[in-house]
Amino acid sequence: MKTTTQILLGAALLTFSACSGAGEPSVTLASSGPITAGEVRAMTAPEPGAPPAEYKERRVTLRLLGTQGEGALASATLADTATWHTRTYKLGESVGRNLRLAAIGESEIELVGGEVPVRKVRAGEDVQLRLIEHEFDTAAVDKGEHQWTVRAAAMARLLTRYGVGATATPIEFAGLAGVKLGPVQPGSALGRLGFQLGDLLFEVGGQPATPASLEALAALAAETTQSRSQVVTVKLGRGGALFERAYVVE
Amino acid sequence: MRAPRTRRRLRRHDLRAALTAAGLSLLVAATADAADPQKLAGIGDSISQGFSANNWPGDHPSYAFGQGTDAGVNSLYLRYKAKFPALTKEFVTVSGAEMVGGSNSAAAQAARICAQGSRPNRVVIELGGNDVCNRDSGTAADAASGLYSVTTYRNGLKAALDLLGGCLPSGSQVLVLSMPRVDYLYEAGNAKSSFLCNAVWSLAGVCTVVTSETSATRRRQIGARVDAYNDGLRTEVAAAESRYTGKVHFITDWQGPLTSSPNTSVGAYKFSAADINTVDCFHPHKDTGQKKLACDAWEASEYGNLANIGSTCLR
Repeated sequence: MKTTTQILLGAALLTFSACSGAGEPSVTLASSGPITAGEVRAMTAPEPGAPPAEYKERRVTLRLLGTQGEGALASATLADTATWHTRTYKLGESVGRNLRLAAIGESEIELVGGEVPVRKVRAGEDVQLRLIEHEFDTAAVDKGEHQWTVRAAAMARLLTRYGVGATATPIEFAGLAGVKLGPVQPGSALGRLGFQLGDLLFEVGGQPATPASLEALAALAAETTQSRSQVVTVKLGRGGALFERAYVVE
Repeated sequence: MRAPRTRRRLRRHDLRAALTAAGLSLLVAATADAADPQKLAGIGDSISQGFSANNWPGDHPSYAFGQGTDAGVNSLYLRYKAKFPALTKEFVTVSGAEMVGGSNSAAAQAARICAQGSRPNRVVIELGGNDVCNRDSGTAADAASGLYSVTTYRNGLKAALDLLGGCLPSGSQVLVLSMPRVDYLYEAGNAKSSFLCNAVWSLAGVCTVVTSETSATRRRQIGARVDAYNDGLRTEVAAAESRYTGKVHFITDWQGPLTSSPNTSVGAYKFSAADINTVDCFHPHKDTGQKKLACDAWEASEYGNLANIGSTCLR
């Protein structure tokens, strides 16, 4: 078991450690209060102009599944052991808003964050982390099985700041009329809703998709006047497969 | 090397007879042995969802090799149910799922199985295609450099196997199918209709890492990575079998790549134009590809014989 290292950051106490075996993190993270201005200043990827109140912390245990690629193309794949949702991060990319993937080696990564020194994690190891996320990061959350939850208020602010983020052109696939998405801007409404370049959209909210459907979808996801949550379904195609995605807008 | 499955079953039956004769039936019940199939679950992607298996776009699970109810496909579920009529099924398969990535990974699906009110004692896993097809093209030197490393792939599977090993009832069995060579699927599509299939692939973005790759050498680099994934899959299955010995059996159909063990598993099978559908030229058709997968899965199970896969299923 590696030596435990404790760093005092303002009002927060962070403790990192990692065991050599998967699934047995030894770290206990101390509780912390609201995100402070000092933490915002120290972030690796702050939301421009956002005050501390727009951030929240989230405790996660991530497992490094492995690394791939070399040099600037290197990446690391991390799984959240609570949900087993997995994401691949490129070298230099932020993990949350307060940590950064600083180095990627063969089966090992280094995470840095603010004043926290380098933390190494080996493939197959779990590490407990305190992630700080902006409200935009959780405006739309993929729950799996093509089900998403959307917080309309946050999505509305995001839509105002970053826009729809994509355009589309009409297509026909397997006898189905639809649209094909062009490049999707990261951090935009469509980006946060999980769309990517090349996606085919056939229906939005039960209506045949047109290029104008992208803006309509973003507006539905940002609809804050509803007193109850609503479900917006889209039929889309990706990589040849067709499926229906449901957004529960709250 | 493990003894063939038929001989292992024979040894168990001989032992049971002997111990019963000695009046030690209680000891037999306490030893590790596969419980009869009661419920079948599945972890998988669009292949497991029977995507476009009948040449109509969309998921058609009734025509899927694992959970299908179509008599022509004669799925793994129907074959088990023929022996055990009370068998039920509850698959958690999701089109677009990967072994490693996203919100429907092997481990995420395994967790859903573990959360089922009535846990299965038979599970079939079919994943891997999207792990390759969702990746970007590699560097000029190595077409596979954009793919997950074998370590990443193995750890993604390992997480799922450990979840299942921990939650499934004693006597359960988990079958992990090898993943198909996507470069062979590309060749099958070209054989089917080069013009139409390439047009569909381009429009729908089907497995672009392979379908937009003009170099056969580079496509084979990707195929070699798939072989390495399958070798790693077999290693993880064997390791899980060791970790959970006496509780859960872990098995696979993978016996080696096409170069050494042709048509002996899904991963070592060279797909033909007839095996795939006419919607996306990539997913298996119900009358051919899905039917062959069902046969492969059955012969890899405890009631089949791996030696039959090449002679009976994949030809």
